[in-house]
Amino acid sequence: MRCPACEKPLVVVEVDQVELDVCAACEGKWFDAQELALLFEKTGQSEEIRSLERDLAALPPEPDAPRRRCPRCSARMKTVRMATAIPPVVLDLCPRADGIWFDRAELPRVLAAKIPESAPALERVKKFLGGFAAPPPS
Amino acid sequence: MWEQIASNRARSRLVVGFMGVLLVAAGAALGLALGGGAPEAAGGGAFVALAVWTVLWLVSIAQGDRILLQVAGAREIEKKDHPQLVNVVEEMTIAAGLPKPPRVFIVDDPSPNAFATGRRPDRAAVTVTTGLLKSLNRDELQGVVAHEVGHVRNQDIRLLTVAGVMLGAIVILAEIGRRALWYGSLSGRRSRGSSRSGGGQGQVILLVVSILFMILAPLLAQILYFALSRRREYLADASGALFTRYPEGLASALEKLGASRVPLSDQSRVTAPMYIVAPRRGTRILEAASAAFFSTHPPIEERIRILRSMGGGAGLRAYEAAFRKVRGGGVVGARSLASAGEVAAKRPEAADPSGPTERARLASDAILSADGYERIPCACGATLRIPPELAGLVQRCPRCRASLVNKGS
Repeated sequence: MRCPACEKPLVVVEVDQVELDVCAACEGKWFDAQELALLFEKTGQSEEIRSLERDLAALPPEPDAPRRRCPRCSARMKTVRMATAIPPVVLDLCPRADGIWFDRAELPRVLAAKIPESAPALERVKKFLGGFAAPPPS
Repeated sequence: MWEQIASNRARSRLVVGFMGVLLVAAGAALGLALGGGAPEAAGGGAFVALAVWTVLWLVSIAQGDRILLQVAGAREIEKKDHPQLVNVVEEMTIAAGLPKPPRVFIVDDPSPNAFATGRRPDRAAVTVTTGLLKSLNRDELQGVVAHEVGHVRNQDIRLLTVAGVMLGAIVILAEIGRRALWYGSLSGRRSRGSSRSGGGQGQVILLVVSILFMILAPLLAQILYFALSRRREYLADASGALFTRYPEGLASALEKLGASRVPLSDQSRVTAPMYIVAPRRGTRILEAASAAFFSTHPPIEERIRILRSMGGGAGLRAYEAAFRKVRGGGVVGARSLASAGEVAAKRPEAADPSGPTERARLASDAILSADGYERIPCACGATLRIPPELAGLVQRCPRCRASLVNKGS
């Protein structure tokens, strides 16, 4: 698979038997359809993630955003704006629901918006995701 | 299954012959349409089609399996890539009494599905999608593999491979004709005008007939192809039950496959009948329409009901009885039934300890390993898999940003 943003081949990172595809060049992350939910299976939050995925899929497409291609099926992805994240993020979703693409700093913001800071599971999630849950160093 | 094998051979010839006649007729129609109704043009078209048919037949015999595997984007795996899958294929090879295990291929597709292809039972290939590996437990996987090995054993694969390549050719030829007619309508009008002086009312009728035929040829070929593949599916299910001695494994696998909402990326009309369940199409309307007329497979619910009505048996007799009860009529031939013994279904094996997470990892491991990804563990607990293109270029772990120990040093 190739990075939808910079076309470089993606590196596969496996943590605790869950895999995600990461671009070593731009630090974007690709989650296959069930991977994000699988990742949260162990912290008991897969339901939140599934509802997040449903919510994102129901959002209207951003009219002027550039449309990248899905790394799996190469269809043009749907660009949606998640306004509840601070600051709001614009995500790329495969129209066939193959997965979601997170640019460099988007994943921590989406997680912060979906999972309250006070939840004890957040620490475990952060530990699990390691550097992926923290904003990248500038 | 002996009648089945004999009938498959006879049908193979019939299908190749029938498709040849269709192809030649379609070629004649095409020649007629392009040549503005001249009989010489029809002869020329038929001759070209005959040549095409001969080449196709030779190619599909020699390379058909390779072409179809290529179209489906399948990659061959070895035992180290996915030990469970290769083990299951080996077990089912022994149960079916095949001369040697089929080669095992994987398609990287989230939609769960499988197919078998090849020229002869000793030169066969079984292909499964990564989606299938992710969603099925061992018993279910065994059921699906047994169904595919059943296709190999019943010698369905050669017929399906040859018919698949030929069907593809007829579809392409008809498409060329349709477009040629569409774009050539201007010149066509001119030639029709000139032929009117020669009293060409009959030629107009010929033209209409040829257009009609060009529309019907791919349709007819498809109906024939699909009608053939339906009975085959039931028989492969019967073989699947027999080889595993556990009909519930296949039944439960079919249930999962039927419930899957993920469409297959490979939606080619040609490869559709090869899969264990008809590939789901993207659009609903198309799906409903094609289900009604061109379903390559019997309804999944019915196949599951038959497998679950086998009443503790796993042999051909039990399948035949269940088939009569659920659907009426018979499916297994009389001679096969006479030689079939009573086979009791075995009890389910101990629960499969692997959960969905582990299965997902094993499935993607198989495809990565087949693609030549390098495996580098990082001290932070993550394992990286570097694509061959980036070998030696990735120096830091993207998760913890620590330097990676280079394998070479």
